[in-house]
Amino acid sequence: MGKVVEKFGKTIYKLVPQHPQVVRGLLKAAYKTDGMKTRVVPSRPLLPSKRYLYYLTASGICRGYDNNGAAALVNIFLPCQVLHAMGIEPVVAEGISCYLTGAAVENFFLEIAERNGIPETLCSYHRILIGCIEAGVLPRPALILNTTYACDTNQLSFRRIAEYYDIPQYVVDVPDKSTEDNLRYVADQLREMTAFIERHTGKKLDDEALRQSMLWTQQALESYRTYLDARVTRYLDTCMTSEMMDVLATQVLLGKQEVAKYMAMLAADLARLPEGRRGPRLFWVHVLPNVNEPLRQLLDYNGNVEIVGCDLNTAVLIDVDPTKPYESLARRILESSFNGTIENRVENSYRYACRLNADGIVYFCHWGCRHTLGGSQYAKEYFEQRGLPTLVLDGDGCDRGCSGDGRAAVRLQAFLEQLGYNAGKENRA
Amino acid sequence: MIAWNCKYTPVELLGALGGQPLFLNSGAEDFGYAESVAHSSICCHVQAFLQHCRDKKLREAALVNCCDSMRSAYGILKNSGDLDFIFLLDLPHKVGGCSQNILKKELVRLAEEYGKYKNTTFDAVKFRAAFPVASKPLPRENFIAVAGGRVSDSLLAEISARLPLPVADLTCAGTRSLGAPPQGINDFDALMDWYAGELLALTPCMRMRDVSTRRALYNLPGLSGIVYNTVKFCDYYAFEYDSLRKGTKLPLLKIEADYLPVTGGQLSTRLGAFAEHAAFARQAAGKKKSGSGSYVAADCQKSGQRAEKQARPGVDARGDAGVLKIRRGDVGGRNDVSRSLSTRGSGYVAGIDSGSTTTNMVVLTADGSYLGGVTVRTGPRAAVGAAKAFAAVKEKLGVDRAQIDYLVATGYGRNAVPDADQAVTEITCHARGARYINGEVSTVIDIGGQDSKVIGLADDGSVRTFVMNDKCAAGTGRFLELMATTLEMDVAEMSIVGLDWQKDLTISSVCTVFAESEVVSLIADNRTAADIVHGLNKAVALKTAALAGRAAGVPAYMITGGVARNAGVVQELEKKLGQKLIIPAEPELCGALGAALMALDNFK
Repeated sequence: MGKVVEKFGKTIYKLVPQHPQVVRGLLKAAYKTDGMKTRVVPSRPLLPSKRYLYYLTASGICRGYDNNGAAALVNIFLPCQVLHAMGIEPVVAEGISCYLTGAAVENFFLEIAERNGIPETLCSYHRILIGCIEAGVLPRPALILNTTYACDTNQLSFRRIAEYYDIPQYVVDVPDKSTEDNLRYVADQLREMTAFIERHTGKKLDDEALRQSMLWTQQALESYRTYLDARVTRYLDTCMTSEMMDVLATQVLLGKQEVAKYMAMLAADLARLPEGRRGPRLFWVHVLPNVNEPLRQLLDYNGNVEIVGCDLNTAVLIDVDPTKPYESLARRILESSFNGTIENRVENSYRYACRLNADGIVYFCHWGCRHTLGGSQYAKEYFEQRGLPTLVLDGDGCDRGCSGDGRAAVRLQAFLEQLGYNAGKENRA
Repeated sequence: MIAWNCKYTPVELLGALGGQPLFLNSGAEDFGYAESVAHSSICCHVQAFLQHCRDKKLREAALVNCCDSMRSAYGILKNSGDLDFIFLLDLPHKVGGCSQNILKKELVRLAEEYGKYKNTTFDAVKFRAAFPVASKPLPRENFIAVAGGRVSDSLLAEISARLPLPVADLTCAGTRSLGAPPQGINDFDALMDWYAGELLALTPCMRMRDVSTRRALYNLPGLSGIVYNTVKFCDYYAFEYDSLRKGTKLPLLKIEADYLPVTGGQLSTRLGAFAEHAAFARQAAGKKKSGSGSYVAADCQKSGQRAEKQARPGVDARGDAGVLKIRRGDVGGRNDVSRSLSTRGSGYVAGIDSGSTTTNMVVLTADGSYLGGVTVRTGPRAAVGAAKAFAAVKEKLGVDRAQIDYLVATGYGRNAVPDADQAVTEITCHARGARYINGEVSTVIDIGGQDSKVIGLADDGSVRTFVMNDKCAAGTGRFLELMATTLEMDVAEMSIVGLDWQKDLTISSVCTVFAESEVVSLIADNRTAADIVHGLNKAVALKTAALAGRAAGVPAYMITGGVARNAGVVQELEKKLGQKLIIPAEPELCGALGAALMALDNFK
């Protein structure tokens, strides 16, 4: 963590109790500056497409802090095309928390959450979100919209926030299996959700705007699949944060024109890279813990190791039909590998790990994610029986106190050594 | 028998298809199997469920996708090969709209699959007969509710025995009350439709979308106090507890169940205080005998303070670094790293293992002969420990830093060792060192001060797989050191005192915080130090054996690290594994030896 970020975090820590609105302004200014700086003069060797994505996500997070009561709080798997079509900003728990952690200010919000009775075993993304809201830093959203998958935490944290602020909440109940009955059940709920949004915001959905959002969705998905095809034979010097940013692009931001543009840029960037590989190629399962400094030192812009994909980004890449938006979005929900039992996720991860020529899989057990934790040994056995060495790595995506730091790095480095990675002096420089 | 655990399970339908439903809700003796196939941080009830399915050799299970842990358990059980039949009911979160139809189709699917498996067809008469004539009534007089997350049968009995008023089970699993099927409907489809509606009309658990009707539970006539339970690693009910503690005027005590058996001292104290200080105190009955329960007491409405201490990743809840005081020679050397000792060469290579507690260093001559090794305290910084090790090598072996041509650093402080030529993890180094010491070794168990690990070796001696302990100090040397402090003995004494045990005690937790509470309770219960230490040794052995299970460890096993000198732990671990352990003469030096061998490779 840089000294400037550290100092910023300490300042915020002191200001939050008495001046939450000042903190809100400071965070917005910091995100906006960082987004602009990364787009124009990045401090890291980012592809042009990634620089654009960093800018996009920082801008989106800033809009979430606008105190105009116009945003909708959503979970990462809620399809947001209707919101994009209506010009409503989705605020996603994981995005808010990642950015707070990036600014080194998450500790205070974790403390607030714990003090307010939130169990410390709960997913830290949601603990930080709750702390940020209950500290008065994140403004009151207009709506809360969430699906019941992919985790229990959605039910708990969003319900609590809805009660805390007395905010209208709509929940999309997602059955486990993709059947025609279930498709109708979910599609009907998505229609009902649209009516709910219209009722509570006074805005009217323009069907043509939704069709356009679906077209951008389809374009983005096609570009992302082209990117993955190019990734199979190319090395990309990248970092964990970059892969995590794609989670926003492949989920809640999907359907925006800017994301269609980003995906097209990404595919073009990859196509320009030379073919070849350097060192172990890892496929990552679950969130990427960019708070863990020793892990970042091992993985970010290493030159001899690369993360070739993440199951959050490959969860569902099926086509959508712009003429049937609700059925298409319902199908995306039901066929997501995160829906249903752990077998879906494991099989899908294996499929993409093979497709991307991964040498090994890192199965990241984010503290608080019971579904991931519970499936860890099954997944390891499944992958290894099929010839893919697997590291089950415990840690936390955004709580430094739970990130494991050195312990996680020992495991990962040993795993890399197992895959043939050489951590000699020449590579440590 | 078909195992079930959630109140939304259609047990009446299972019965009508010839099944014998078995409600699995008791605590487990340990989670050895569950941890080896799942994870120690999933819902403890689900861990107990997995454990029971294996221990009781059950062949059938009907699950509900009521939580993330249960969804995972389904995958684990389905792929374990232990069951002949398993079903996961997809329960809607919403009540109303199409959800009843969705659930009805799930019931039809279950009837088809289970009927086919049992070779039976739906029997409407049996179905009707499976419904109780009347649901279990609440006490007529004043009563105390056990609410929140489920409690095991033994914990409920324990609570009932210690409170002065009748106790009603209003937990998630305790509020199952269905009406009888209406007369005149015999068509299977129509019955399933009614049944789906009836199941969805149960008092909702916190997993359901609309939980507003749960408020009625806390306004029942005669309710005089609430013991609110949360299950460890289930978050659902902590949220309700938080709103309840802010809203209720009733006496409220929070406990946390971990579905493991523990002694009742702590629970007794909590419930006793609750009974004495709550409004129903004057009705308190006389003193009652303690029994067993499965709980971790947390906080009480009276104080309003959070008193639970849970281990969390990255937080080891331990004091400053210290030295494991282990008496040497207790377990004897079965192999000797000095077997290849020969003459000194002109130059040297070395390996340095910078651990959290000790720093170990091994020096080899340039021709590969073993010159010697040293062990020093690491102290506050890895670099300081390294400097001490160099000084000790100079003094003991007459070799100074300038004479070492290639140095490989390993251990937690490997990147902080000044001037090391290479940094390699202790996993790789332990594997290398162990196979060098004994060519038969296939699995290395290393229990150090801060962590424990199991490393599986491939035929060529390289690392096949490895697993390490959780992020807390559970089951490590640090854990034993802290327990020794609690027992007011040093680690050397502790390593042998447990060999003379008389009564077989079980300490369920190897979380340092929870285990310390258990040990304190046992001391207060006049248990002997030997019995308590034996219980601790078993707990460490259980944890380590679970790790070995995860690593698919196979004989021959070698144990390294300071805890290898603890005869009590070694004995229990040998029992758990059913194998003798190979113990090097200098078990702490294995990692440093591996590092030195790697240095030799690179130097050549």
